[in-house]
Amino acid sequence: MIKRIRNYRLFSDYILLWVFVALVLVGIVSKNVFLSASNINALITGRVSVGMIAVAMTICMAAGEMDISLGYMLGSCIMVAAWTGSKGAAPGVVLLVAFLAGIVYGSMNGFFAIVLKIPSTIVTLGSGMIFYAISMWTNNSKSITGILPKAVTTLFKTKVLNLLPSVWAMLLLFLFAYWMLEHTPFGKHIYAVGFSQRVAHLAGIRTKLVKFLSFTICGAIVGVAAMFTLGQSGNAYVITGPGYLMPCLAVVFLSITTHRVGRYNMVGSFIALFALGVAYNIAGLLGAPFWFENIANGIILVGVVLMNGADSRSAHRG
Amino acid sequence: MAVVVKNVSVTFPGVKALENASFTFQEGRIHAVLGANGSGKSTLVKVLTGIYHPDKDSQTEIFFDGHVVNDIHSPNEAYDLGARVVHQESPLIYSFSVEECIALFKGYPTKGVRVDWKKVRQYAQKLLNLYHINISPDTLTDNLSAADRNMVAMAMAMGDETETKATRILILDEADASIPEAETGEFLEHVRHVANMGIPVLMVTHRMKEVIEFCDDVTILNGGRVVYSGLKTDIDEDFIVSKMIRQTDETLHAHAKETGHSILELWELLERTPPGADDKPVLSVKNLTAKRLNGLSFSVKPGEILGVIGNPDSGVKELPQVLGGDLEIVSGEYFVSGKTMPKKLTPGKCFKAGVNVLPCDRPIRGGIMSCTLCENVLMPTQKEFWNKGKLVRRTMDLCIDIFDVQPRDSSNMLFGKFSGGNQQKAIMAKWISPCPKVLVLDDPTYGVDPASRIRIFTAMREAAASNIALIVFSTEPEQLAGICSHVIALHEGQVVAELKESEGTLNRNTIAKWCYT
Amino acid sequence: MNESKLKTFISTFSLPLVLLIVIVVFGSVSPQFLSVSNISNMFLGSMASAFLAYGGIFILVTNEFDLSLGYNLCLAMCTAAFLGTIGAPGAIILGIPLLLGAFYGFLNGLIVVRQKISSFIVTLAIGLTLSGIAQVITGGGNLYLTYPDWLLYITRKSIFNVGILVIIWLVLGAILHFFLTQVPVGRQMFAVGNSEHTAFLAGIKTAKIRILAFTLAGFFSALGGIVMVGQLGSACSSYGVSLLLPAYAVVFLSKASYKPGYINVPGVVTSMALIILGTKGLELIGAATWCEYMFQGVALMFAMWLSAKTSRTPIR
Repeated sequence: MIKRIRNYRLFSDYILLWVFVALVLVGIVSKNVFLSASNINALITGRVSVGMIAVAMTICMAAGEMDISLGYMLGSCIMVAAWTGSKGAAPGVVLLVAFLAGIVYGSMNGFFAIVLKIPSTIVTLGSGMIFYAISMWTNNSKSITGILPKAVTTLFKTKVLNLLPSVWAMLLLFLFAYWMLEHTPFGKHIYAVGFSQRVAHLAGIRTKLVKFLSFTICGAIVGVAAMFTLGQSGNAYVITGPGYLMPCLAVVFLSITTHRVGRYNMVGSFIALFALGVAYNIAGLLGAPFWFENIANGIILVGVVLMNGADSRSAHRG
Repeated sequence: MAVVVKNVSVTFPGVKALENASFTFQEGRIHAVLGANGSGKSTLVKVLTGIYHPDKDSQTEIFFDGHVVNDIHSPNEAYDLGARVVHQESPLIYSFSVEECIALFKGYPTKGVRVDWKKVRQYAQKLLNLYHINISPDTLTDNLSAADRNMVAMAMAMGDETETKATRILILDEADASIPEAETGEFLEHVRHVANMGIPVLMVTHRMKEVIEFCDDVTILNGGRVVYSGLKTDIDEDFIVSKMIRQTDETLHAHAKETGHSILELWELLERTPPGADDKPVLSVKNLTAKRLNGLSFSVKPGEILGVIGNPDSGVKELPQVLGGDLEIVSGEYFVSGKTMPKKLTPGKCFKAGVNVLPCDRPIRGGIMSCTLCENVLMPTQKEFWNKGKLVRRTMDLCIDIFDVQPRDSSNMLFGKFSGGNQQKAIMAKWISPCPKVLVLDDPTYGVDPASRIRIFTAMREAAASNIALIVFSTEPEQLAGICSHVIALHEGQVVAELKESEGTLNRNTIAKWCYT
Repeated sequence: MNESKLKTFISTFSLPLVLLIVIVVFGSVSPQFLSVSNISNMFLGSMASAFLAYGGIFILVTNEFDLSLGYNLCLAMCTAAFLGTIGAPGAIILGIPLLLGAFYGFLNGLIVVRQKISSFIVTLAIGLTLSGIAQVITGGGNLYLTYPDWLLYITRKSIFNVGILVIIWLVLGAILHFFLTQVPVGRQMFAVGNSEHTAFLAGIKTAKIRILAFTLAGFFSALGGIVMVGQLGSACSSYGVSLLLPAYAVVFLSKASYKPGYINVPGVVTSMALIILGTKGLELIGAATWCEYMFQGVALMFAMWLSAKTSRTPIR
């Protein structure tokens, strides 16, 4: 009897995984080119930036906050780093600046949300604008190109086991975040604080610190994403960033349907990332119009919100 | 005309909130309904206002104005029948003027599309005059005292002379609870004024003094049944208290089934040593001042079970939060094991000092419904279990066994899926397993089934036997007579009496007296 | 007593004072800055945002937060332009986007109220979906709107050196002010925003009021979209989204003037003027475009912080 219950759980807890498998089968059946090395590579590479930001956003939302500035943050980290490059900084420094900028930006969000007690959705609405302004300021709204020497960009394009370094970086980030959230006391604290600040506080958890740190870690992860995006191309564009908000949100919202049902989690985000990736890849191969992805993301968001109702924990209920 | 309620019964799963209760509310008289928590007072009000409904098979009859109904289906119907209610929370919008609040409630008078402010002012003034409320209509509600607010709420509920004609009964549902004792006199005079208009008044209250001074008739409820109904002049405080005392709780002296393990094993696993016996107090407070606490002093020794009682305004609700670092200390001293606790306390600091608090309000403060049992139980000590999967399993197995949490084998089940009793036992495990020096329990058996109560009382005795000091607060204060050696009574934020078992002063009657007056 | 009188004075007039300073400072840099036609032009350039701000008023008065207003505006623009490309009559070009905008707002309200989900999440999800629809309609590029003439006229021309739109905006503002202070439904909105629970106890139909607020907000966003497409003559799925922020900043800032602690229309007009003149003034003295965004981001933060300090209604 218990075994049967356990098996059912295995099925229902990993629904997204089965959807992923089903989609892959659909892909194989419908288009030969689906399984080609170039297509798979394109699929995976196309998910890298969304994936890294999704890692950051999952942590943030697990802590009960919502950060909608992450897209602008990415763009701004890249621009600021490129700017230091244009002023003559060494490539190593440029990349380090990208990472540090993320930490600084994340801490800024933390400061406004936790110390000044402004609701996080509003704070990150405003800070997103500020990050965007900083992006524009760095080079008068123009992009900065060719910032890194060929040697560096080639390094970032050297495939290991046929995967780009940025893909490995994303995988490592997922692993690190997964380990942190599910296997460390800090991760337990994040979830406790995200679900009920009151109970967490009474259990002796330093809730404000936990929330602040989750914003900072969020920023650090975006910083890493910035490092790899810049490293790969050597170019910085002002408009980078805002387009990532929707796909990331779709991935993170979907994470609560899988692995740890009811809470934002890394495994769920990872599966959702690739389930959606495969879905959009197939759609593209089948000739779906460019806007398909956006509409689909929107419908997914609304759908998950409706289905989970008050469980959709986010932005300061608590 | 009198409003009569006959044979009302309301049953919830597992609980008979009202059992064949009958009441007669005579016109022109203030009728107080008294009873301890859970006695059925608020259920009665909710039945009369259409929110709860009598059991289908009961012979309930409610008479309004010669008109009989078996059930009031909705608040709207209650209003149409003539029931007017004033609740503890007044429906006055903060930062609006009194006249506008009245207009919001009654509906704005309009001249075409726009509000007719003149009529708003006129109506408000008329209403305030009618009820002799000495406030100017344009006063902002923020500037009103609690008594004023409730008087305005009463005036709003009753309406002007024409509207008053449609009122058949005025119900005050603990409306006096939010008013400081010093100001209630003013409010109650206004209530008398309403009664003098020939309207029956039903007053639900926990304040004995007000009943004795202002009311005409009294009905006492106990466990959903009417245990007394008659004139106020026939009875006194002691009589009322004796009628309100709950039946003896058998669970207090029952012994829990033997489990294979004991708390001592748990502590050994977690490398904790129980406190040693000592004659010196392990926790003491001197002249503690905080919200509702005005210079409180007491102390407790290791192994002692101290009960704290008092009426709802005495500070009994605030003290556990202060001891747990969740409510600010204004002045005074707080010692644990001889060391002074810092002024700026947090729950974390109290935990480190060895003071653990089992909070009231389980769903909001006790545990996180969306986390697993394991995450809840180990929350305060999470760091000790990093990378120690085996230790986690063994600890949880022991906790589940010792505290009899059902179902077994449920470490990873969501906390919200357990019954109230099992949740409470898990929370006991949460706060006892770190082996504190002092365990503060705020209403440990609220909403808990009898079997779980037995387990909780047993656990309390075991903890005390290991020299942990216990401080217990309860909304069923009579139970403290069965478990504490020693009870202090609070009144207006200070300790005013000490009841000791050894001196024979500690029994259900004396406790009830201190809590209900 | 004097101290609190001073405090009240400062809070009532702080915003107009800052506005005065801005006018004086930039006016001294360039005298034409202060000419009626220049001020009117500056306002004309931000009319879309200005109408959006009116939508924001309803949302913030009822203590909600709507992240879809910018996307709603954008979709209205694109819908209008699209209708133009298929040759629909002028009335349809004006009417359909407005109706749809109100409907999207209604949808937001319905889900937030009936499903009891936080407005942040619902409106973000719906907003992003609207953005997707805008992409579908425009096919990813620009759509051009060249008629109806009366629309183009109203959105671009001036009478007596004052933009027609500006006049319409001010008149609409007066109507809104009347609504919020003299009409029962408007007063009930304040009550609901103050404390939904207490308003409910007072017998107010809080669900209907909240849904109405969202619907009106959607309507005004769509109006902003019509204004923008009329002025620009084109629509694209990325326009207009960034107007959300200044709109909210302006509404929050209104709490700092006229009727301190309460959102009020005269305050919104004053802070709109402050943001417009401030931004344009910065441009005038040679500040780059990034200043505009920085200014807005900081303004929102500052406005929120100030709002929390002076507020007489609980902030979510």
